[in-house]
Parts: sequence; structure tokens; C-alpha cells
Amino acid sequence: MKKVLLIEDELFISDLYKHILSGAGISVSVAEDGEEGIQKSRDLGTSLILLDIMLPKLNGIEVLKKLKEDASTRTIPVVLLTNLGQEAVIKAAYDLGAQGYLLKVRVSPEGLIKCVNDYFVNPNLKMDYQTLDLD
Amino acid sequence: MFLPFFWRKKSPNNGLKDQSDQADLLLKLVEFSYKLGQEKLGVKVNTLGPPPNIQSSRQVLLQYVQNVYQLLSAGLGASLTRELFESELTFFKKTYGVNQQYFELLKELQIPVMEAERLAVLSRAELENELKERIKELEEIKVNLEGTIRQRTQVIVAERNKLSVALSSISDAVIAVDLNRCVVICNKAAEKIIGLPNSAILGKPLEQIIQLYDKNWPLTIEIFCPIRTDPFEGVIFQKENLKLLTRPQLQYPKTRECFVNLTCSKITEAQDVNVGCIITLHDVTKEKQLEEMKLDFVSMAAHELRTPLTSIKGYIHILSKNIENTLTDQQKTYLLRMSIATQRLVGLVENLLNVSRIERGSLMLRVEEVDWLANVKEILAEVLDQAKDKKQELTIVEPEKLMKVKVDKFRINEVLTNLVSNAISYTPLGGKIKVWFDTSSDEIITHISDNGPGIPKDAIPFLFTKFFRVSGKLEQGSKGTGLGLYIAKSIVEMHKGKIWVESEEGKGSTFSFSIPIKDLSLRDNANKVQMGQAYIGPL
Repeated sequence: MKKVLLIEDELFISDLYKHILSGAGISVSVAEDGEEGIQKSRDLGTSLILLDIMLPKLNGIEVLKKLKEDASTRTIPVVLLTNLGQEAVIKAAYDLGAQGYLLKVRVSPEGLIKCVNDYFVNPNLKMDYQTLDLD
Repeated sequence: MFLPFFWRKKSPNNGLKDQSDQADLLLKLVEFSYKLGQEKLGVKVNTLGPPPNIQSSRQVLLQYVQNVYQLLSAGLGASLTRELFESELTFFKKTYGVNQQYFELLKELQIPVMEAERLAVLSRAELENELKERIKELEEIKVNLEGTIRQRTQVIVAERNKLSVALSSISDAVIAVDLNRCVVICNKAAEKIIGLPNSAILGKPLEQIIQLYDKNWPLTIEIFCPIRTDPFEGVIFQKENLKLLTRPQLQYPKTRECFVNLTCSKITEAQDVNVGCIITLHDVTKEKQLEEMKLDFVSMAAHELRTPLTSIKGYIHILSKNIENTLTDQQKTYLLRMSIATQRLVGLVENLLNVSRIERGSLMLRVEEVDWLANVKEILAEVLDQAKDKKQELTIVEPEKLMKVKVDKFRINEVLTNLVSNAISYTPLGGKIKVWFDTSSDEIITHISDNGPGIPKDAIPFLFTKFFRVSGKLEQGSKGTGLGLYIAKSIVEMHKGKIWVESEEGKGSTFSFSIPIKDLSLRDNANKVQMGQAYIGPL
């Protein structure tokens, strides 16, 4: 069974997305910090990682780097799910292999569900960096 | 003339028996010269004819010289120059020497006297006197010159000192380069900005000392230090916020980076004094750093604000869905208002970020073809809730033709949303908001009018400036940061369009903006297109 790993430290937000996604029949696992995120990414069935950037212990960019260095997690698509819009940061993430970017405050529940399903269907999907609306 | 030639073949006393023979010959020659003048040149020469009594051959010779002169001037018809007559005079001098009679002849013939000739008649004593006079004159001139030079040198030194003091007290860097772009002047401030001592800068090619960048694009020296030799005087290049990198030097391997405003000027006498350009650099590094800090602050503030907003927005959505059926109409309205208020907050954060992007100059347009009518209808549908809430009528006048425009959809919709939201906000309950269009050959103008209280005339010029809020009647209903119209104006102008307002207090306002058209066939039909009417939202 495919599942999403949500790496998000804010409880309100992780609960919110958990509710939205499981309501659409999507299995969700949550990690509260970067280190936990890396551990849980090795769980069987993780088909997509929704990654926040502002995280305790290890920030999102560092997590992404480690995920891509590890052979067992390298191929899992990573989509940034963050409220940070600085071009420099997003570019760095894309250079490290991020395949998508969603601005939390802007994405609708339907939009999120659609995004997850799209990546389940096609793990190689990549949101074009040029069309992202960044700060 | 062949006569002189004949004459020169023999010296006066050579091969002639006696004086009378000589005189005879001279006379014959004088007669001949007259005849020649008359026959060959057809002119009547001066009636100075051969003297009836020849006193001496010398007189005759003088006479002869005069005749030749007259013949020559008559024949040539032009003013006689000394060169032309030189050969005749030379012969005279050789035969009789340079003496008083000779000078009188020159005077009569109006031929200028040469200094050497004049000196030749002076006795040794006279010559010595003359020399002493001349030497005295020269001595005086020398003394005067020395005095003048001393004075001028003092003035120059004083000016140089003044310049030196002035330059060293200027807080901006002043660098002058010669026509080969080698540094000839470099003040204290320049040393500070460049981070090198005078000794490492003077005499070196400027290119080897600094490199300039305009937003990460390297600026070649020909651009910021053009060498021109035309007489223009003044500023020849100016640019702000350039990055300056000091090139590592042998003894100073560390590079230095700072930000400067550069002004390059030239003077008229550039070539004469070998000064190619004068460059001034104003250090703006601190200002730039402050700007950067502000921007980072805005980005971080935006992030912090967005986090709780995400929760609020998300949970309202879930709540609405879950308990929709259990809510009273009033409760539904409350939830709707929470949603609207949250959306407004989200919009405010976006506005703050937009302003920082505009200030930074990093707002980029991603232009695409957009079906304008469909797009406007979409936006109006989005704000319909707001209008419904205030029981307002929101209508659109649909034109006949389908228009396509080239715009950044996301950004231009920010403009549209802002203007329509403003109309809704500033119009009281039950008001009317209308959207219609005008088409010209290369643009579409969108109008949004309301029947709200209107805008005071004195506020209109400031409406599109940052943080401006209209005070007075609208104070109560004022919302927003005062950034919306500033951002809207920036976006419309980036699309090469215009934005304006027509408003009268008590009658309402109409905000209008133009955007470029895609369909070029409409270029020929500069008609106003207004047809039909469609209600978007029922009362």
C-alpha cells in the first residue's frame, strides 16, 4: 500500500494534512523533525515525501541531501511543502533533487490530494522550476 | 630677362679699355632695356630716361636696376617681391657693395631691407653698440620671465595644495586616469574603498586594480571609463549599486568587495593635460546590507505569518465541510466571514512580499496568452462571496468579440482582484459594481466602477503610492495596508499598460487599466465594444 511521509514539525499543520489526505483514502505517516524523517523514509511503502524546510534538528535542505545520498531512499520523489518562498532556498532544493514545490498557505485540500495522487501514479513527475511562483 | 645674363658675363672692368667705354656700354644697355620694355611688354616705362650726363657707371647701374624693376613689375602686373628682384640686387651688391645709396634705392623701390644687409653697412663700433643694446634687452626680458615663472609656479603650487586638501577631505573616492586608463590621481577615500594604499594604485592601469559588476554582469572598462577626445565636458557615465571587486595584487593578495554608485566625467582639455576620465565612487555597501537585511526580514516575517494562517485556513475548510448541514444560516455566515478574513490576511502577506520584490527589482513577468473575458469572469466568481455578503450587485458587460491578451496571468489577476475587492470593500451594502471593457488597436482597457462614496480630489494624485490611505469619509471602512494600488500600478506598468481612476465624491469611482492585446487583427478596429449584459451574481 502506497503511503505518504509528511515531515512537518507544526502539530496543527501535520494534523490538518493528515486529516485531509486520509479522508481521501491516502495512507499518511508523520515525522516531527529531520532526523525522524530520515528514519521513517526507509519504511516500506513510502512512495512520496512531503518535506517542510523549517525543521528542528536537521532542516529540510539537509534532510533532502541525506535522502538523496542514501540508495534506499534516493528514488522516492520529494515535494517541498513549505511556507518559505525564497528563490535561493528552493533553487538549492531543486538542485539537490526535489521534484516539486507547494506553498502551504496557498494549496487547497483538493490541490494537495491531487498532487499526492499524481506522484503516486508517476514517481518521476517534476514540477517545472520556471513556472513556480516564488517570493 | 636675358639682359642680366649678358651683363653678368663680364665684370664691369673686365675686358674694357677705359671708363668711357664702360659708360658707353652701360648707356646702351639702359637704352636697350627701355626699348625691350616698350616692344616686348608693350608698356611705357617710367620716364626716368637715361640721364643726359652720366656721372658714373654706378649711377647708370642704379638706373638700370630701377628700369629692370619697373619692367618686371609692369610685365608681371603684380606686386614685386624681394625674391623676384633678388638676383638683380645681388649683382648690384656684388659690384658696388652694400652702402647708403643701395639702401636709398631699396627705399625708393619699396623693397624691404634685410637685417644682414643693414648690419653690413654698420661699422664695427656701431655693430658692437647694437649688440650691447640687444643683449641689454634680452637681459631685461630674462629677468621679467623669471619673475613671471616664479609667480606662476607659486600659484600652481598653491592650487595643487588646495586640490590635494579638497580631495583628501572628500568622503567619496576620486580617481583620475590618463588617456591610457592608468591612475594619475587617487584620494584617501579611494584608498579606503579599494582597500589598497596609494603606492599600489598610482600609475597602474585601472583595469588591473578593480572590476565592476552590474547585478552580477561584469562591466567592461570601456563602459564605465570611456576615453573620449571630443570637447564635451561633464558626466559621461553613471550607474548605481555596482559591485566593486578589488583585484588581488602581488603584495595584497586579498580581494575586497563592496557596493558603489559610480560617476565618470571628462573635461574639455582631456587631451592637453592627459586626463582621460575622472571617476567618483560613493560607497553604498552599508545601505545595500541594510536593504538585504530588510528583505530577509520580510521573507522570514512572511513565513512566520503564513504558518498560523495555514492552520486557520485549513481548519475552517474542514469545519465547513464537516458541519455544513448542522449549521444555521447565521453560523454559515460566520464561517464564511472567517474564511474571507483569513484570505484577506493571506493577501496582505502576499502584498508585503510583492512590495519587497518590486523594490528589489526582482518581480518577473511570465507572459502567456490569456482569454481575457473568461479570465475576468473567473476572478469575479472568486470574489462573488464578498459581494454576496454585502448584498451588492456585481455585473459584467460582455463584449461581442473574444479577446486574447499577452499577460502574466497570476500577476494581472492580482491587479484585477485588488481593484474588484476594493470596489466591494469601499461600496456600502446594496451597492453596485460594474465591470466593462474598451478595445483599441493594441490594448484592452478594463473598467471597474462602483457607486460608493467616491474619492476626494486631493487624494487622487497619491492613490497609487505606497502606504497611502485615503482619510476622511472612508476612514471607517478603510482596510488594507495601502499597498494594493501601488502593487497594481507596478504590475500594470510592467505590462507597459496604464492605470488610472475617475472619481467624484458622492458619485462613486471608476478604476481603469490597460493591457496589451494579442490579436493584431483588432488593431484596425479601434472601436469601443460594448454589447450585451450578463449578471454574474443575483441580488
